[in-house]
Amino acid sequence: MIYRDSFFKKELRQTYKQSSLSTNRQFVFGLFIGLAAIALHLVLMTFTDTVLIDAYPYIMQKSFFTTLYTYNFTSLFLIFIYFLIYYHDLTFEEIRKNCWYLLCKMGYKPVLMIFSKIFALLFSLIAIYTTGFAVTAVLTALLKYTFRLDYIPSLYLMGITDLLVLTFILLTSSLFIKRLNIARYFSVFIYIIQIILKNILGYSALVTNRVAMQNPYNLISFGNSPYLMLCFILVVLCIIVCIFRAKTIAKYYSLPSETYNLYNLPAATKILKLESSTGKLQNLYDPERIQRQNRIAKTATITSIALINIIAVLFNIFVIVISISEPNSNSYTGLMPFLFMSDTMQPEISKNDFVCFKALDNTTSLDVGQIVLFKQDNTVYIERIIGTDGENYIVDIDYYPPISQKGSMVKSVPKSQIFGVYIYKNRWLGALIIIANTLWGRIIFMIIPLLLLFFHNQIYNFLRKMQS
Amino acid sequence: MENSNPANLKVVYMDRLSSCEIYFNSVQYRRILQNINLSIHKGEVWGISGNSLLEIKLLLEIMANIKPYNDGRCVLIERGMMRLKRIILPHVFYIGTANMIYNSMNVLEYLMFATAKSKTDVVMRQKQLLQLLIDIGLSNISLSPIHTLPDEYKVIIILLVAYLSKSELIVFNIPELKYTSQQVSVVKNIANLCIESGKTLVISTTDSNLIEEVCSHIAFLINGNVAYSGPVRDFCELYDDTTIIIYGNQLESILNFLKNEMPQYNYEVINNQLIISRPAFGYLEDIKFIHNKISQLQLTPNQINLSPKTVKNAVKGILKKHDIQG
Repeated sequence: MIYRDSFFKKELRQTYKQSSLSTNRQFVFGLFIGLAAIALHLVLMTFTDTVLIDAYPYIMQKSFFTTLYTYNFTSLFLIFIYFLIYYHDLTFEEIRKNCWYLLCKMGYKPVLMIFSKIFALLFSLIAIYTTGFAVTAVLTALLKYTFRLDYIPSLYLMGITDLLVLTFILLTSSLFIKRLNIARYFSVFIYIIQIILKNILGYSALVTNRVAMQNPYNLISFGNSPYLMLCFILVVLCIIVCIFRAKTIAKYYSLPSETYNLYNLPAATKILKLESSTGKLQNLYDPERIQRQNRIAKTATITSIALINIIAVLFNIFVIVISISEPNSNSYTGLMPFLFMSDTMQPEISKNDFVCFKALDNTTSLDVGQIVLFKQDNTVYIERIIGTDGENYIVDIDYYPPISQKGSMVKSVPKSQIFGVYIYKNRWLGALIIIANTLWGRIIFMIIPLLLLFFHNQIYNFLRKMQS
Repeated sequence: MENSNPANLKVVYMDRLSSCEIYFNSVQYRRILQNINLSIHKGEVWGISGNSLLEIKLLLEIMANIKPYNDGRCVLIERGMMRLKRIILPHVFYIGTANMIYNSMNVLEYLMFATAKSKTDVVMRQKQLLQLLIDIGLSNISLSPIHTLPDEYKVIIILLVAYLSKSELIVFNIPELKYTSQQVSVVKNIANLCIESGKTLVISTTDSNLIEEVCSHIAFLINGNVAYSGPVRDFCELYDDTTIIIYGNQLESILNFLKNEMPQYNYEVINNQLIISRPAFGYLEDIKFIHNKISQLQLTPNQINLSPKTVKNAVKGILKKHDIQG
């Protein structure tokens, strides 16, 4: 076997020793993203009775638009993770590790390497994205959703744009950031900034508008949102910076971060550097300061883990209490929290909302319009007071389902049967409780905090090892 | 500095050089490197060693012009280097880390990749590289993925690439690594190839065996100064003052007897060996005298050896001379 020795091919296979291995890996990754997007879509479909349907209708519907939109943010997130894992191979980090210095010594031209790297990376990422996009479309067709071609170009353009912006910012930053862990933190920062920017510039609203997404021109139009124009300028700037910066630093040996602690220096010995230009002494290594920083880092990590655990424990207790509590259960605190499982009080209270009722005492007066909890014939009802009839209150539900007879739930209730009055609801808390009661919810809210609790030392040591 | 004979070309010339970096231990300041004088000629293999990894690493970083120096003068291949600018000269190949290669490739593949810009036929080149790996003793790892290899092997592969480059001076600056005898033998083979092709190799190491096997010259740094610089053979002669090693079971009796009879010698018992040495060299004629004294005791040791001069002992000797624990 004769080994391939082209830099472009090396970049295409991300330095893997066999091109088939690398090609298969990238194809499988694309497939995985597609499957993950459909899995996420199906999971979301189980929460259609929650606040999610109102907050994010575009990801909660049975349509091609929804699955492909879900694919777009799944792919961006997973490709971002892929970037963090293979940061060294995918970005210009290899220049910082002096891999290019060595190649330049062997006759390679930096500018050609830069272009090869950029083109190979784009080709590879677009191939991964397109594979996943196609897989998602095929799987959506298998779900028998109505096929609409007009959304597809806009959704594809949207996904590719996000990918390009993220790729070029990470590529450029890798030329300036020396330490890998800082580069990873910066990548997370960029990812978050990208999301915020989309919201501020109206791009998020544009891409979730089904009517606007039927024409790709709407995405490009500066009048609708300047985001894509900004992305274009950013990408061009990044390419220019990449070419000049990479060309400059590739030729020189890049000193790694000093690890003076490896040199067994005598205790309490500092290393200073005399700056010839200013005559000032710069502190290069101070063991006491490093110890202090390590102590702070350890305290911060342990505190964060402890905080996550405390929140998780409190939340789990809360979820358990809410899950077992019923409207007619005894109240020790004067409050009756539970999940409202019916549509009858829409739009005031929706199905799966977290609601809280206040226990009624003899001094509390009731007014028309209040929602109350009462018991008749051993059945608990939640209805609104619509009037009074002598000593009794006339109550009714707010919403009758289409096939039911209006007015069938009107009741006359004496005050003695009313034991609670509605005071508070939270739709998101309701959704969170429902999610926490699913398998994934149990894993996120119970198993992960338990792991953090028992293995916090190992996690801290692992993080330190990663940093060093 | 001009030298008409290319064989005597000064590849590295340092004159009263001192570093910008300074030690500070809350009482006093001291430059990490001070008053360094060093002269390395073409085709030589130098081992830079010392009692501090930091000092030897820093010296080679300054030598390759990666870090600036404060005072003095540094000339590389008869070209003066600017004191503050960090420019790696095209004829210098600096190896400062094991991360310079791609871990996902195997060794032969990486060598093919690194040498891709040479104009030779691909098939012929791969054949030659494989033969080179076999010749220098790396056939066992020639198809191993690089990520499976320890750092010592990785830097040896980089050294091999440096030999294949056009650079005249190779600065091999990873003193923290410890090599096995097989790896030392490979480095020796590469060093020989470098010498044959007229390259100069400078290695920073604290591995005495590596210096003994590979280097023709040594510079030994103690507390930021060059305590010795010159041929390795002279270094051993000068500082390895061990004269006799006695092996046996009754070493304590022999030791007590000799201490009384010949207090001018130094004695040390390590692992069933009694090592007898003199503070300075030139007393080899006393060996017969020592042998006669032991014979008087009528205790017959298993073996009495005239110790070979080794870099390891010489390093101990030079450290002892400077009152530093080895």
